[in-house]
Amino acid sequence: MNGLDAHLVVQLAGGFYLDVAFSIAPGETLALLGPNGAGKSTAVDVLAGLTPLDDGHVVLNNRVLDAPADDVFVVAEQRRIGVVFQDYLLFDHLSVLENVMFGPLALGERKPQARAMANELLERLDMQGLSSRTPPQLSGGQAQRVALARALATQPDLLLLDEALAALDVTTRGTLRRVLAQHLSDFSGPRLLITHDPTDAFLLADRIAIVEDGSLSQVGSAEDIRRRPATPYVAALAGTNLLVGTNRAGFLTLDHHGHDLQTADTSIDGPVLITVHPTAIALHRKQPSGSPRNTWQTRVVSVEPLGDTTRITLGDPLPLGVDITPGATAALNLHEGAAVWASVKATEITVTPAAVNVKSGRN
Amino acid sequence: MTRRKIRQRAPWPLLVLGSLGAAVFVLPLIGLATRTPWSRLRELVMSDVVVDALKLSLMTSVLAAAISLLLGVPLAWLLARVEFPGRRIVRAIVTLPMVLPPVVGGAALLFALGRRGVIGEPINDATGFLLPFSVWGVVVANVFVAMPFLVVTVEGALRNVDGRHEAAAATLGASRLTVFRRITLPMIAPSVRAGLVLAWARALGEFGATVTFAGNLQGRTQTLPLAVFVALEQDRDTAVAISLVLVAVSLAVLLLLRDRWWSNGADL
Amino acid sequence: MIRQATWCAPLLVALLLSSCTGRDSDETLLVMAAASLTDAFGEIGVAFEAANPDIEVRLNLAGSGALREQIVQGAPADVFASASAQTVQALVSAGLALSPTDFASNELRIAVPTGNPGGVVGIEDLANSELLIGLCGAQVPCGQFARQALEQAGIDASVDTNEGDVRALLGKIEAGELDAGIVYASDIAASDDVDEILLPPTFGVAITYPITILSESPNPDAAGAFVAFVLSVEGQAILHAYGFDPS
Repeated sequence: MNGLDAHLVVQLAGGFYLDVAFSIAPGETLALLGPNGAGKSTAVDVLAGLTPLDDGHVVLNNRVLDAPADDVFVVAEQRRIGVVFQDYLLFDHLSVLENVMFGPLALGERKPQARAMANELLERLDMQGLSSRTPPQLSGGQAQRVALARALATQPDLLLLDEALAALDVTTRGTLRRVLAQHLSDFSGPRLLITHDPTDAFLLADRIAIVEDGSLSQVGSAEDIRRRPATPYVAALAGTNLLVGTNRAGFLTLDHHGHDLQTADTSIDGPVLITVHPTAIALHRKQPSGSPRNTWQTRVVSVEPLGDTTRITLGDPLPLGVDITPGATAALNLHEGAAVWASVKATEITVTPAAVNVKSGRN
Repeated sequence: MTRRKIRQRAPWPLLVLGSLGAAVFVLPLIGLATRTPWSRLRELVMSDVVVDALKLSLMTSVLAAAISLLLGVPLAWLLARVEFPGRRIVRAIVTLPMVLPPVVGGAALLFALGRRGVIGEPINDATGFLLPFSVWGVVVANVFVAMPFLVVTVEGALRNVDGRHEAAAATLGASRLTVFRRITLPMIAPSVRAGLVLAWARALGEFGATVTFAGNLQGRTQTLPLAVFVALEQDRDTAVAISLVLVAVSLAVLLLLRDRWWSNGADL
Repeated sequence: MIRQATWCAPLLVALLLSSCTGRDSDETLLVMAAASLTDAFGEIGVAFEAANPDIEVRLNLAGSGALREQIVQGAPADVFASASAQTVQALVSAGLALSPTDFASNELRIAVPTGNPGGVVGIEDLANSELLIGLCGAQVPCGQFARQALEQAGIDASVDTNEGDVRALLGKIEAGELDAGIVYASDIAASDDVDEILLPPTFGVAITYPITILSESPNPDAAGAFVAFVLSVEGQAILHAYGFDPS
């Protein structure tokens, strides 16, 4: 089959194994989402060919890259996998242009062709003015674009992004997420996004695979994961309520829902991503006192016990997940269809700048 | 506008011990200066013996540093990056000349590369080429004592290089040799330069291995240190004059290179 | 001795090592001797210590010129046995040595590696540039004598190296690295790995070895005893065994 077919088995430090299997079709973006220490960076190393597998296989476009059972191992420089590393790993002694030219030259391209290719990529990423700078003279966002251009310049068969946005500040992250979304869709091969940030996963990936303690706990679309979280960790991740809207001095208008919210954060104006943590929402039987804008009446759509907490999903006007204790669930007599009042403090509603073109409608 | 500087007072124990440390190096120089026949200096320095020795010393030490660079950097890379059996022993042997009395090194070179040496004899029989008592003998002796300084410096730098940059280059399709040439080498450049200067300095001052392996003949194998040694027993004024030339050349080069090469981040 | 032992441990080992060797000697005699005397004086030192158990002899062996320089610089030496009357005379003139006595004589020979691979026949072969020829440097007596002999023979030697002392020169001839060199008869007698070629007496150079007590000697009595021992029948017998002739 075309695309990536991977079954990664690696012994990790601390005695546990990374054992995950997934496939990615050409043109598809899979996010490998998990907490730090779950083995995500090991996955990057084995896919890129920097560490050998202990068992399993990596097959890319029908080409076996690593298969310990058959004693096959293709070295990194022959894998044709473009990697955008977490800390970019740009070459400080080379200019931006030379960084991007490095791959084509290493693969035997002639200098003029490599330069043309690099210039074109830098132009597409709005970086043409900075091509003679060196990496230490770049901002985090600029360095990230150069790293992306450098990886794309080799025309790889697979694009691997390792925590590509983690090192950026909040404002830049929003812009870069848009740039990334655009270039991911321009890239026709399979793409693998490795991240610990559910926002990145939900906004950029077609499918999400969740890694916990070295194995996959759930694979599915953002919708699947939100609706039916398989573990408390997934529930907590998926439950992070994500809304899209516009902020005007703390006054939030939501794009897809007929209810407005108030946030304490007035520093960012314009399009924003709005996150509300599921434990930050309080439920009441009677109308509570407080700001009317952040208090609304709704109905319970579902009640799912998840060990120590219960996940309550609310219906219109705001489809949010709420985590409360089983005791509170009983005390409030919450069940499917029950009418409740929800409230959230303005300080618990966080906003980050959103780009205009992110894949919306995933909340 | 001038920037205000905060005057740092050094704690007195550091000041006292540090000054004593500096005195170890400064006092001999003062001693040399007090014995210098300043009025005859020009005439002494321009003598045949001194001019021949200076030319030879500069040529052989530069050549030895260049050869150390050519062979020492790959050797350092092997020691730092390739797991091979006996690596620790090879590393110890490579650094041995830093500890060994150079005379012992010279004798060992003679046993290996001399006319009756293990390798020297077949080479001499086949080609008539002979290292001892020739300029190349001086260069070989210099390389023997000087290259370890470069190898140790460069190997240390290679161990400190973040391998992730090299890994990134590999994912971009670069072969190991390309990675070494275009990524590793530029990253360790300050240390390579520092090692090169150390090796050159060691070669310039080399005496024991040279006199044992290459002999002592004015114009062919008599370098500045050998000329000083001979002159010390014959004519002290000449000896002091040569020493002064040696000090001046070394100091000039070290000052020049230290400012340009070592100040920005060589990890020595 | 107990006091000495308690001092030894805490103090700088390197500096005191010599006095902490545990030998039961009251006096240490420092004898500066020319490199060509290495073996003969080694044995004389042992014999002298056997005859004088309360004196320990330490030998400092180097080229005569280097030794002179050390004495001028204030080395705490007692006796100087030189291979050249000239070096001793310089010290006497400077008031650093008492008047010397000749205790041995020597002559020059051409030494070649065993089997004479260079096919050296006589002193004229030293002018052959095809051969590897070594001499002692002009700064030491064996080099000065050799140059005198070459001059008298009218030979312009094709020298490949000027070694720092006669032992270094002999070592390279023994190893076969040099084809020939001019050394002392006594050195050849002491070596198993060289053959000798006699020089015609016409080119012979009178070589006498003077010995003297140094003016600054810390142990003048012991120094006198050592000089007397060298000149005694026993001392002369040892010197003869190592190829030296009586003076």
